[in-house]
Amino acid sequence: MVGLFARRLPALLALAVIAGDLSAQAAGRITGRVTDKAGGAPLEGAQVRIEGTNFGAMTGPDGRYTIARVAPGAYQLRVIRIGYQSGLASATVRANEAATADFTLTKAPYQLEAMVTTATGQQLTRELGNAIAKVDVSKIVAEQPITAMQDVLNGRIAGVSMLASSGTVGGGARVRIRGISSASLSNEPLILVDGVRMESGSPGLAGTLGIGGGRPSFLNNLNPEEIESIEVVKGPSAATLYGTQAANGVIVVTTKKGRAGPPKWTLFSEGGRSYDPASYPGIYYTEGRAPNGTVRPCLQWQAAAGQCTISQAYTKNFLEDPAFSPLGVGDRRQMGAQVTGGTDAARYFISTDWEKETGLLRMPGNEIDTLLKERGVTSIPENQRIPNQLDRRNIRVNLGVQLAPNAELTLNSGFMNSWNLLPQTGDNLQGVIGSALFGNPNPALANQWGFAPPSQGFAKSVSRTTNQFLNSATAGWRPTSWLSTRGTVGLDWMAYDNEARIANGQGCTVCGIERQGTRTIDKWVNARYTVDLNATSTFTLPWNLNSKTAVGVQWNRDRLTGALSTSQILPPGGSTIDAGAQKTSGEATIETASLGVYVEETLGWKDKLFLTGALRQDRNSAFGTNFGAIIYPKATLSWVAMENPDAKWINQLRPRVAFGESGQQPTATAAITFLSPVTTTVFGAGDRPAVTFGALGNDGIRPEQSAETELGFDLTGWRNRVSVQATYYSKTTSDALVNRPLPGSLGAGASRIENVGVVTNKGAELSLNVRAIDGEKVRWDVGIEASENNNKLVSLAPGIPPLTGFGFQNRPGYPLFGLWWPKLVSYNDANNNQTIEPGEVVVTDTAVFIGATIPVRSLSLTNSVSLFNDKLRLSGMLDYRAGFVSHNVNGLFQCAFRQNCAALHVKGYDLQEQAKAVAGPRAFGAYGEQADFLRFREFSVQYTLPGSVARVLRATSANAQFTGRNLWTWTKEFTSWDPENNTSGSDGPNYNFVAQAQPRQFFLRLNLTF
Amino acid sequence: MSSTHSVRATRRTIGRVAPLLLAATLAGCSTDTLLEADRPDQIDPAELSSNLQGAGALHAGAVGDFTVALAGGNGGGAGLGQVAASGYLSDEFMFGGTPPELREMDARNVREANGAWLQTYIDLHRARESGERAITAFKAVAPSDARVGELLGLQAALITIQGENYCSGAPLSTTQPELKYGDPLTTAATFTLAVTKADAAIAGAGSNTNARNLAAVIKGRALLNAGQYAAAATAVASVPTAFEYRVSHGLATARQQSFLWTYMYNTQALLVANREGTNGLDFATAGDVRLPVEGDGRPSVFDNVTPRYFFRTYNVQNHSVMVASGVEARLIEAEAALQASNAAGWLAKLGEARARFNMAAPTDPGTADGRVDLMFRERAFTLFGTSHRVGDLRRLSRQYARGKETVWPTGAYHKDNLNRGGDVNIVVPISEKNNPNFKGCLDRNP
Repeated sequence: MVGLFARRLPALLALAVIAGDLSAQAAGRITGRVTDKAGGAPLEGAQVRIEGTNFGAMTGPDGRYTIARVAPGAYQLRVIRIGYQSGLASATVRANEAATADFTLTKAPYQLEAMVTTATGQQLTRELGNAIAKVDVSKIVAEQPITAMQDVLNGRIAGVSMLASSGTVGGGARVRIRGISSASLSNEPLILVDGVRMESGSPGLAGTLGIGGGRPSFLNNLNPEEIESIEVVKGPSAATLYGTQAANGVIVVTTKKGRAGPPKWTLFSEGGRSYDPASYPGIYYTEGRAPNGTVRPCLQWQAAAGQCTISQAYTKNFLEDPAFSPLGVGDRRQMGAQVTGGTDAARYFISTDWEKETGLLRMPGNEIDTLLKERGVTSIPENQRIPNQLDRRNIRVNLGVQLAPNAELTLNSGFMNSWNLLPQTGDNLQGVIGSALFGNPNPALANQWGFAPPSQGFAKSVSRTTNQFLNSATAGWRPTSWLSTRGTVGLDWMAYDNEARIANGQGCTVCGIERQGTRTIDKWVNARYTVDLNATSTFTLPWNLNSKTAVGVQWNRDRLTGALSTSQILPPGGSTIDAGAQKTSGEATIETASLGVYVEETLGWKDKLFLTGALRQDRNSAFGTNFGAIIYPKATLSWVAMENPDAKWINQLRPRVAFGESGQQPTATAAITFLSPVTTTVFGAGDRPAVTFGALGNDGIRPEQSAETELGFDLTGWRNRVSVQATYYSKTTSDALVNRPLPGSLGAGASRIENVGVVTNKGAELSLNVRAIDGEKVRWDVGIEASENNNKLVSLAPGIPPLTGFGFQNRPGYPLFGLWWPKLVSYNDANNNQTIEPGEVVVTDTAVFIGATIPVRSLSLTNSVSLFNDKLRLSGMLDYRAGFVSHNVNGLFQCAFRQNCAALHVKGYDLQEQAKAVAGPRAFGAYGEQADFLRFREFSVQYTLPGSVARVLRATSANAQFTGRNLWTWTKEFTSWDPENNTSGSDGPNYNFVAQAQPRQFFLRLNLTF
Repeated sequence: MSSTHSVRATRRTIGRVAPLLLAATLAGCSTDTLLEADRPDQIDPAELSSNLQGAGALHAGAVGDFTVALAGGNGGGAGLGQVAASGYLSDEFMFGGTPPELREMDARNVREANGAWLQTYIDLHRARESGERAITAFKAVAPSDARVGELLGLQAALITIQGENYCSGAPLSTTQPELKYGDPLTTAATFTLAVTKADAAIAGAGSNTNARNLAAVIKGRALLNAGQYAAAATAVASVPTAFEYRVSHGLATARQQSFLWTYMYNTQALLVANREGTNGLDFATAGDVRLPVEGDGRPSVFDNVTPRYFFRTYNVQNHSVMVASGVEARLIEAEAALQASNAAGWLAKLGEARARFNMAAPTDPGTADGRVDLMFRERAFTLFGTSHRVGDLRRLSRQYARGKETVWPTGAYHKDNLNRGGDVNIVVPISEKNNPNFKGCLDRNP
């Protein structure tokens, strides 16, 4: 790597320097000031840019800016600032002189014009043929109940779905942009933080580390407090130049940067409480006598069929009885400080914060008493009393240095340390929610919990400790007035330890060997290296044409290494790996590297029509040896058809169309056939080093290639009080990488990744913002983010049978990872005894399609009202998702396997539920339920404290907020407690099983600025 | 041309050419080193094929893969093993867990799309292929090594088990030396192939009695399945009663650890059955010393229904599993004697087999049916939990004309309001249809 660029860069630099020398003597500069038209106040943070180029500057606190090293000539400049109409001005630059261009801007509720970050650098939205969504994170964090990155994205961008796994503290969410494209590869988007690729996966915790479901996501390692903005590049048509790995979209995160001026401090403190909003079903046991007089369980249908006579009924609800329930009240505290300042030559932004959160789970008092007696101790460890905790610290230092009038360097460095204690709530014997739900209230039983009571389930401690450095350095250099260069190097380095511990004799009594003591430490180091070099030249051509040519190279290396150790059968008091009588260990290395080059040409006409064409070529270590490189093309057209900031009805209308391709790399070793080292026990000879078959490689494997066509328009109207962004897209993933099943008789594994599928995602997105009332004292904004996505596996290569898994099938003509089970067709209470018996239900013999498991339709409605000159602001968000099913395994397991649900025990219970209960053992799909839901996702009240109060606090300004999250949920059909959860945290299998509900949360926050 | 114009012209030229030069420069780089990826945990097959140490490592791997194929593993990609499959499908084990795909085997109603038992099928062939890889390596560096005979014997065992447990038509494919899809094999052809392989094993074993006896017992087993009783007895005649060939689980890695122990003692999903489905034998309560059982008969904690009985032979994670033994040789000889209407010889051979467990010889029931019942009961208790029972139940129908619903667990399933299906063998998983030569089971007959 170093050698390559050491060889090549001098030539490039020499080229640029020669060019720079040629023009240096002729350069001038442009300066000016940007002010508010209404009061003349200087506007800080306005971006001034020379039209048709990448050159520009940002205004300081005094509203002034300077663009250095501008070639002589006449220019048009554009200024953009949030809350104002964009402005235009002209300037004529002469050699060695300063030209002046001042702007006075008019306030506008909505402004489509924005600067966004693209693969080639900063660009105006008007130049882009794609819809790119931008989220002002710093504003959202300051006003809304945000506890993690997934809260930032949820419901704010049409086409972006956050799919939660569970409501525990640290429980993550999948991010899906415009559906899912891959049956076998990750469907997570690429995350770029200040130009550096960041690990955002959510690896599951299994084996001795198992928590039974839910997956923490590394995306939540990002601290929203440090983020300025997020831009979402939604599909291949926009992500072409990001190359292989970008087919699922790109989330471009920009952290806050320093601004010139005296130090500006911001302090905040937040506290809050979390509650469980769910209602849980009770558990039932009905006892009776058989005709021969023996005592036996006796369900209602069994009694109706004359198999027994009911003598006694019992019921209980562990989760809703305060004496037994492990669900209590969670607590959250966070505080932090940020300071920004500096000079034109050097600017800084420094941020630090700390947060501590405990989840809802608590060991009930009676269980604590039991344990104290059992163990003969005076206290129970905190991690067992409060088994769900998060303790996190962040620090970030971002520096910007103006090396020369035409060169700057930005250094961004963030460090995060967190410790997340993950509870046993889910799909395992230790899981306390399942144990409560699948118990038996028969008082004759010593343990009425289904499996482990909280005193045992919480004895298993699973935690993840993460240390992450996320660093980038970006240098920008403009050697000539027509050429700008940019280079970014960065490293996302993350070390995380997954640990599990059960002390001898403290685990679940029905969990076998684990109760004899278990200790696991898996140490992982994930490093993602990024090198991104770019050069852009701009020219003015005849006939009002502008040309912009960008070339670049990107190199990435992702390396994950792990050292895995587990020890079991610990002595009393022993808690380390070496203490166990039975030890296992392992090591893992996964590494991929990719190299891409691109060239992009944009032609602009009169600053209204922009035509862009681009090509990117990628090579990748995971490609087969018989496959060389792949080329992704791109073409976009953007036309500013109407533009009149002062018009009454239409202020700007911009139709756009784009086509582009991108890809996903195969898994790291998919291309090679290899053997794996293992240990084997040879009878009578003990353990021996051995080698076994690893995998059958596919040397012709190539990336999964997605092509997308997108068309739509952006519109502002009604004096900039309405903004609309509407988009239709059609994405086809050809050469889809599929784990193609191998004939088992080959003995070569279950599958091999091959390019054999075609997947489509087609849909539409609408972003609508309306300033319904725009008064001095009262403002009312309404926002809608709506989308629909229809996903379909179009075809598999001939001869490939449908790909099946637990409860899902990937079958041509149906959505990927749809829910497939034998299902309940009908029921009929033929004997009219108000009891459904097994013979009165009809089920399918084979698995049938029940529904998509990813929401087809999403809509969020945001209302924001500002009162009293913006001193009081109220806002709220409703989040609606529809067109999908969730497999309610809570009900299935209760009714079909444990037979303790109300439908089987309560006479006269709803017939439909009775039918599901008796059909369940044969037709799991009876519990595939429509999961459409509407959730009152966010509510906030923000009050700007009077100046006198701020002064008492020695602050220049102060505001307080009261916010709430997940306040209310409506669901049409789903009969369990939270249709949003997906226990596995993956696209397939997809089921909802004993996961903690998304908590209802309330926070109080105080922001102070100095 | 003025100097200003000259400068502008030069700039324009450079401006147009520079990006192209940059792109060309970068595109023309030798970038291979940039794309190298570290893969320390993968071994190139070529590294092991030319030295004895490599062949030894492949042999050990093949033995380990055989263990997984027969008895499963506790992780590391291992399946559930043929012992569990055979035990669930027959009357040996009952399912005390909940996952429906596992339950299908116990309820004799396995779908070809069932994913839970797929790896178990793959493991059978993986072990055969591992053996082939090791045999190829030995032939290159030490062709007379007795381990060749052992590996061939294990391959013969795997093919025999395939014939016993899977439907007619299950093929044998290979990736060595190149990928070749197998044709459907009838059940009879499968046993014929197993006998051929066992003969090769005997030849390859040389003077190694352990390998030779293994091959002999497997040959006898395959011949018994083929209905060639006398030939089967001849094949095993020289095998001493004390002979045992076992494979063993270990503790070091999840793949080595016992699936049977995990599912029996840890999760109570694999429980010794007792008169399962009317026709099943009284394995749990017979009190037979050949089948040590423990447990209180209370419901499994998992499904709250299935009685808890555990097979004490598998009560540790690193237990061994019998593959072939001299006792099985005596049982083969006994059945051959029974077929030859030599009741005295039959009882004598049963007595020799029982003596290994310090048991008295059985009493002659005196009737033809009674003798067949006793013969198969002796086999069932002696060979319990070693993947013999499905083959025996099939033979009862195929060779002794017993109606299948008179020997297999039948009628209502013990939980979940289900009725049993009619499987008497395991359907080949649907993924086998990626083999262009395979269209499905040829039949589902015993």
